[in-house]
Amino acid sequence: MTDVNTRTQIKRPKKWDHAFSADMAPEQVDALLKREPFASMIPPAPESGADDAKAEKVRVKIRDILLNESRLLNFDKDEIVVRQGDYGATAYFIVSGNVSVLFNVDKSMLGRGQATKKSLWSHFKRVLGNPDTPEARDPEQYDPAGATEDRLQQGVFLQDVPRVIAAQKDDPDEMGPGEIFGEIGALSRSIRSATIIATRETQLLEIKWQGLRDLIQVSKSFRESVDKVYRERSLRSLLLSLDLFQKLPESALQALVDGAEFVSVGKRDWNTNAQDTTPIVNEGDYASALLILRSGFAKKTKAYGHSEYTTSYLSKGDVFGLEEMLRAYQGDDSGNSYRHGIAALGYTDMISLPGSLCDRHLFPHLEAAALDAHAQESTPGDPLEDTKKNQLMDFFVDERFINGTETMLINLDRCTGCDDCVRACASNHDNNPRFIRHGKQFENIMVANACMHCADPVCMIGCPTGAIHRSENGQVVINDNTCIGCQTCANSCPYDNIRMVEIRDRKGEYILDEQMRPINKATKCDLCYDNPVAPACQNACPHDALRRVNLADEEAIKDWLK
Amino acid sequence: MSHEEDFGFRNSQYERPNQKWVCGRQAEGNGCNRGPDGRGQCQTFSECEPYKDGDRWHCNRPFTSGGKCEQGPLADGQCCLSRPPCKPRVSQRTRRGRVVMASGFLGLMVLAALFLAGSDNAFFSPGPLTSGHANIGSCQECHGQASLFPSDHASDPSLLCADCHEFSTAPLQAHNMSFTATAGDLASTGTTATEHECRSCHQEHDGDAALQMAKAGQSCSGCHTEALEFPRQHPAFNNLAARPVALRAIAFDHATHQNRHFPDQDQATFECDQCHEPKASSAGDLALQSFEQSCSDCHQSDVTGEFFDAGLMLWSIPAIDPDRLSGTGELPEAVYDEQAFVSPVQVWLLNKLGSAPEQLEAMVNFDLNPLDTEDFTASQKRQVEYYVKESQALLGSLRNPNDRPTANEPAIEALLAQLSPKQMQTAEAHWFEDQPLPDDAPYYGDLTDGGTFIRGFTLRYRPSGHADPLLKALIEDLVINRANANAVDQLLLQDLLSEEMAGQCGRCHQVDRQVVDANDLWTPTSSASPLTLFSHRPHMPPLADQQCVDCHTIDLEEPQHDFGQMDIQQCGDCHQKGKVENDCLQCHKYHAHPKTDD
Amino acid sequence: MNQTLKRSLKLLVTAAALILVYFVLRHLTRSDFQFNYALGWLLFGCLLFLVCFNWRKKLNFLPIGKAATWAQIHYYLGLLTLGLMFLHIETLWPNGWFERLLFVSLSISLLSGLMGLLVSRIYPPILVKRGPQVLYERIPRYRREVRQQVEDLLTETVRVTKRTSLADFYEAKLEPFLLSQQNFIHHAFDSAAPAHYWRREFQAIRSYLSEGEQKSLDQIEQLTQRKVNLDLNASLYQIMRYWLFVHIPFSYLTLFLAITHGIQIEQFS
Repeated sequence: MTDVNTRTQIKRPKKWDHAFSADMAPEQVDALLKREPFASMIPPAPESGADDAKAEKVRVKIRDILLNESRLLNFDKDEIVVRQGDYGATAYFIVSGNVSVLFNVDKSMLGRGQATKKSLWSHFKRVLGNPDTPEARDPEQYDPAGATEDRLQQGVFLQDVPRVIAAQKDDPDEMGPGEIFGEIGALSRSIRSATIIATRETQLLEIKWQGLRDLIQVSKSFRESVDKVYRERSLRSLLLSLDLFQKLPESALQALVDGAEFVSVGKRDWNTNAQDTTPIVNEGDYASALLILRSGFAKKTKAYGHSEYTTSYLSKGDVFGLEEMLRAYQGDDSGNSYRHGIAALGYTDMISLPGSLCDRHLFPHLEAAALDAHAQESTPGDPLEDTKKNQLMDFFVDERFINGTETMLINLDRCTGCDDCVRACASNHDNNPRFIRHGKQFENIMVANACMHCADPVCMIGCPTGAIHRSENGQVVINDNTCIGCQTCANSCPYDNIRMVEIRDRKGEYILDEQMRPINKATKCDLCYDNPVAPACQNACPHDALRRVNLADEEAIKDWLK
Repeated sequence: MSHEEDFGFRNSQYERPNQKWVCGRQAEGNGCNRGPDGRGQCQTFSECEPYKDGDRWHCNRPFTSGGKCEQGPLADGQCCLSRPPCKPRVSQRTRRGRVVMASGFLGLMVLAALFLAGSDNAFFSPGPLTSGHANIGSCQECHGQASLFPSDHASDPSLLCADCHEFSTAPLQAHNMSFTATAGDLASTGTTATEHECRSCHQEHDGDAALQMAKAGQSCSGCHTEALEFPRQHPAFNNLAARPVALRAIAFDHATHQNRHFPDQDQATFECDQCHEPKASSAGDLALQSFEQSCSDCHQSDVTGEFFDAGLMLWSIPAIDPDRLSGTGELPEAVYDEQAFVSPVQVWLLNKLGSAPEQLEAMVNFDLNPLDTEDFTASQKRQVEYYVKESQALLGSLRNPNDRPTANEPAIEALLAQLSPKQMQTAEAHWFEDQPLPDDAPYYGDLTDGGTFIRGFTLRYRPSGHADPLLKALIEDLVINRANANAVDQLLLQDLLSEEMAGQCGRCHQVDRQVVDANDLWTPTSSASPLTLFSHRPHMPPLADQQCVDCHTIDLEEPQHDFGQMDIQQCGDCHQKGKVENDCLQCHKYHAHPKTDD
Repeated sequence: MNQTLKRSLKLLVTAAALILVYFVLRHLTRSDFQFNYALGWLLFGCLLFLVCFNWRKKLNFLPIGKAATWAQIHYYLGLLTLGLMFLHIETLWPNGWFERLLFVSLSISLLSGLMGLLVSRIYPPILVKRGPQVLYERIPRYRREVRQQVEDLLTETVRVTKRTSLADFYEAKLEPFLLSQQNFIHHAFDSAAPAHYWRREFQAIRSYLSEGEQKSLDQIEQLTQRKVNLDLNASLYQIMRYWLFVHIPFSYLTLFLAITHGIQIEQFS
């Protein structure tokens, strides 16, 4: 055994080893601090020295955040800043210039690039060259010199802007200096809701959502303003994305937006209270409002015997109470009380549209056929009849697996334990498997400990560097270079799908930091996002026992059960 | 207590079945987290590798093994939790790979054995030989020296069959015959070369049973894809025992004989067994009775009839005007009371024995009428000169017992027998005044039976009866060698077979057909192909109730045929599954001609 | 379409393919020898494709179709090969020692494959029925933990109750059982005999123990049953892994023997 002093050593990775941009100079930051909205974030300097110290601390903190978590970008006229449908982890402050907010722009105009998958040949070479040591890394790749964050393709311009603008339903909103956009997508871990283009020469400050989060923590006023805008913007786009609200005239829509109330249950970082089930509405309650889910999950329940059973679950965009409201609108008394109960699973954010509002602004504009369709009598099933299906649904809901869009389900009636799946996974990841073939079971179905690429990935909440992020195609991926091994994501994941490993060099020895301690990195399934055949596990199972299933989609489970 | 494992990342690490080496303590449940290195060496000697910071030693146990330990390293820098090194084992997958390699190696060994041990290895023989081949000692005798490389390709053993099993014709062609394929889907290809190896039907290396005749059902239907079931799908009998009269060896029309000639002659009824032997042998056809038994009652007079008297001209002295031709030697003076023709036999004999036969070919085209020689051209004169000279020479050698020409064919032999020295001397005595008559010269009076006689300046011959040896020999020779016949041969044959020739051979015997040998020429042969086996015996009493006329019906309607076509469907009455079997080999054989060693 | 129907359909297709091969080859060839020759090459092609399945598994990153699809083709092609083999040799037992070797090797390959398929379909439901899944590699660890826990319980019990009857029982009967994997054949046939055996043993000793000891006994019994379950898992997983130690080597052996056979045929006739 070699002397410990001759081991490979690298600097232990730290949070701001990789600044968002190397170009961010202190002078620029200082200039920004004097402008809105940053200026108002810093509490005013009071007379007494103690408070001044506090204000100074805040100022320094904000400065640090801006220095490390943001960068300045310049855009030309008609250049695309943000595309609707992309995943983004950054928000934008407008420093100077003007931007325009567009909806539903034809995808072909947005210059969307393909995710770079490796070519077959380069992948072949990679597989051949797989190291025989587990978790082998090349220490060179961790050199922090240079920004590593990937970014939207440079300089894609929107063509034929007048036509696009003409195709918009309403005049596009414009935003000017001091305003912020994109924070919704960044903070709520969802896709961008609109396309933003610069209308003239514009300078933007792009800030990572970790920076945003830090700013929110630092400044109360900022938090409030973010909340306010957050609500307004996202609410409107959410409504517009639903069939129900598509054909409303602007006045009706505005009335609904103005009159909407917000119902929030649970903490947004719900991994800490994942098992909580908070009732929102009980069966039989007076049906006073239409509920629309904005994020999180909720389950619909029906009373049965002494307790209740879950009939289905709701996720983002689902509507509750429509049937009852419509019946009431049409004068049928049976629509006066809710026929189901609804309870939040961990955390949920809902919009409540009061009945009177709907009667006045929503229902009159619906077509007769739609009215009838929505008011159909829905007969809930008997929970004791199709026990396997119901129990399975309960299992998924109780364990919160419904969050997963790529849940690994293993049919144990067919799995022989041959490990072909693990081997295939390993060969795609430098000889390191990225999941374990164990997990919670329900009868013959096992939910394996492989990242489910959740619809609402809580693991991303605490990451200090943003190493864990959503790729362009929606997979949740950990950037090995920027991970500092803090274990936050591994701790956060409610399903134990992230694992920490010690990294080694090619010889097999642990790579140590300056204090001779081994360095950890977080690892997890990445859905083989850069490999030609994805996912390798499903492809490799010879008994067709392993499937990646989208549990967030209720229909998929029904398919699986068939 | 349930088995529920703790799935958290602190307690459950990745399982790595892809790794080649496994910690040696794994089997006892004590495996280390790190595992052996790539070369299979244990690399974990203690839980941590203590490092010095200032003057204290610190534990740096990896997080996955539990993180920092409570006690910390010993004072001298050793880890407090040491583990003696294990003996790493290969993973199960690697072990499996080794077993596979071993078995592959074994397979290669067997392959090597095939060639290195020599092709004489009994291990590789696919089965016992048939008992007839028991004397074959080693594989090489048939298979030659086989090796791995194509250039050393052993000769096809089935070509060797013909080395010992001799066939008269075409051993490797289908049915040992050369023909254009008409069977099955080969018909459309029009192939003329139909190679059919011995091993298509006779598989060696399978004991006695297999080498014998293979099962017909499988083998025949390979080419004969249409005649599968008898009699439903079998082709109809075409001219079977009903060949056109004109194609037969003997021009015998059963119909006319039955309905015209016999009644005309007041003969008894027309019975089959009068001419065809009543007792069938196992041979295909019923043997025909002899001329004497069958035909002579009516036809003897034909043989010794009309033209019997004139006989066949064997020799004639040419009458040439001596003044027109110079240097012709001693010849008698022209005799005008008899035409002196050129004897075709003589020309033929000269042709056979002499030189420059092309000179003689021209002779057949003109009569040597002495009066016409005046108009001969120069070349014609030369031809006549040649003819006369050669005749003279031949006559001279014929009469001389010591100077006889040699005969190398039976026809010439027969002819020369008639042209004996005595005969020729006697003839000369008659023809040339200066020749003495030999002692015991034959007397030529009134010859009513066959034999040579002299008339005028010719020597003639009367046949001795049916199947006269000289005529028979001559006709045989001429017919069988018809392919190479020149004008002389053709003229002689034509003469011999003409209706005005003594013996009247040509009246009944038809030679304008495919003739293989002498037997074939005179004796009616079966109309069936050489591939058919048929025996009358099982089809006649007492084994069957058939009479001749049940199958062979005389048909007056059909021109050129005397018999109607036989109906194949009636064969099916007995030839069906369960009764007399109806597979191909019942009636057909594959080898058209018997092997010469049979 | 449910599974039984799908399987029946696939079997039907295989049988139909066999019949089709027979008639097509009969039509195309002129003699028995040619027929068998063509059949021989067809068999070789099938063998190659069957062996390719092993290679496809190593090349998972190539987009050449799911492993499950290849597996289905592999199974039914194997069945077809069984039929073709008997068509090819025309008898049930060939003459000639080398050909017998080839026949035996191929038969072992095919039959072991069939057996492996059966095992792969029958054992997993048994494992589901009999308790939660265990990773095979971790069984030795769990076995050790079980033994450790039993021994800890025992030491504690003996210390508290001052009686050694439990410890004697452990030393005499239980320890050898807990030390290593047992009852392989029983578990291979999913027999409940080992579980019954221990139930009986524990029942027998129960009446001779004091109350405190009995409480420990309950826990020890649970742990023992857990060990029985571990044994079951171990046995079944071993069968599900080690049958391939027969199937794959014999397949490669058959492949090489078939190549030899082919070379022999080409060179000797």
